[in-house]
Amino acid sequence: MGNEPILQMAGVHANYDATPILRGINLEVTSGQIVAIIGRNGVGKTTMMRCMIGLLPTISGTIRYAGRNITGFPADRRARLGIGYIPQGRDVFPRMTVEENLQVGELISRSRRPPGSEMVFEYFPVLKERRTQFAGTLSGGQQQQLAIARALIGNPDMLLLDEPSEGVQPSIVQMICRVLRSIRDKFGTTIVLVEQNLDTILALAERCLVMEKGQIIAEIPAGHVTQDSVRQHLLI
Amino acid sequence: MVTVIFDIASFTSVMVLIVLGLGVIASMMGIFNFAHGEFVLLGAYTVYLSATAGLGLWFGILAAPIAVGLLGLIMERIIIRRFYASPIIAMLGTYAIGLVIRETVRGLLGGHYESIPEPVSGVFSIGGISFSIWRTIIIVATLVVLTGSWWMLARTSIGLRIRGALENPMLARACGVSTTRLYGFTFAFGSALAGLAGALIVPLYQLSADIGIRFLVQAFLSVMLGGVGTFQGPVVGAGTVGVMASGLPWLVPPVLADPLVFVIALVIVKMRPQGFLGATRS
Repeated sequence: MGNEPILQMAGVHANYDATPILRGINLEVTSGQIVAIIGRNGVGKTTMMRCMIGLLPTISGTIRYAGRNITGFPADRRARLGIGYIPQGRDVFPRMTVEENLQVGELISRSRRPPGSEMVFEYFPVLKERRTQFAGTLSGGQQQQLAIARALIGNPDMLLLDEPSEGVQPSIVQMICRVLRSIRDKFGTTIVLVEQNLDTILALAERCLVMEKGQIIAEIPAGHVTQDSVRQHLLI
Repeated sequence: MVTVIFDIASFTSVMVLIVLGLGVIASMMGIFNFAHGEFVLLGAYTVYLSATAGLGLWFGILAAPIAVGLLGLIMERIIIRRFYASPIIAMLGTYAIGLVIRETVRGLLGGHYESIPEPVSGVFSIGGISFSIWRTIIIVATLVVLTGSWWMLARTSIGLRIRGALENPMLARACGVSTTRLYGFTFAFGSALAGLAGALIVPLYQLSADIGIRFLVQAFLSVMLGGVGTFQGPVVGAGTVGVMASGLPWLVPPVLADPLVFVIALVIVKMRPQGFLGATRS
């Protein structure tokens, strides 16, 4: 595991419909780490994810990724730099087949040694069975697997997941957690996730950042992520 | 009877060619291009210029989609792209551009009507019924364009990007698809189709500054009728309007036929606001 920061945000402010949501975000994520952003509803977690991938512009502050200032980069350019993003709500292309969804994910990886669909089918066998089915007809858990597979096939260096466990049955959540861990162990992929589910946080996160009112107000450092420490911050 | 069906088919082909470009742009960027009729005009005018310059009709017909496509690309780059956030202004912008093009060409033509001969004139006959060769070429060209567009959309990487951006533009961008570049390409492609349509139809109608705008209202109606967001929608819409516009005059007095097309189409749109095959964006 490297020690150099892959992601840095300094003094990032962002609005949503003219309402200030992020009020000076400062954070650093070390390469190869799994970091969970925790906090109650409406504190700006999703907004921060959208700022990281570039779907929402920042008002001020800088975002650096792998040593580059990417603050002004559009989302597609950030994606091509190796940031994979899995939005909230099991976002897939519903009128495309499973295979076509993966092909969209593969578009980025042309220049980035594509792992190929066989690898993601190994992790998510159900997708192989349903490769010709329209993504819109899959169950919630299957759509979430597809959304993750689509990001993985682009071979990202950093993966952003917005509430991967939301609306997905516990057994699938456990399976997804195992896959994400093994991806990190095998490829050194940095993982940043927004999560409210205690079990998912404990299963995955090595470090937690606590968010409140658009700022990072506390941190649970590596080695201290326990049921008690997380619960304490989730209940604030 | 067969001749009537042939005439309906050839007019409908023209409608489909014109509407496909309009529909593609409306689906992708959510704006109606009010200069679309003028792109048809420019396609026709390119053929006229090529003929008067001694380069021949065929050169003009091949050059028309390329020239108009390039113009569309430049227009999107310089003007339209700045206004996607406010579609009404974007549409007013296209209207203004259309007006400038139309009146400029009117000035260049000196208000005259110019006749362009068919590159391949004459008829062929099957079973004693004669068919115009040029109209047959228009029908075939439309089928080729339709098949080609469908193939591009369903089988190529650019088609995958287009479908992704249509279904979920945000997610497509997060997947590395540059919607900015895609919008430029789409606008150029839609413009090229209009240019081709203009080049193909100019021998049937006389070239005047208003050759394109006469189709525009029907083309809008077709897109509304078919619905935006899919490839089939505008094609089906154009087919319906084309068949009605060219078929009704055989059934009712022509003076009634034109308004009747609009009445029928508007009633359908009222009952099915998303159109026949309209897709709702996720």
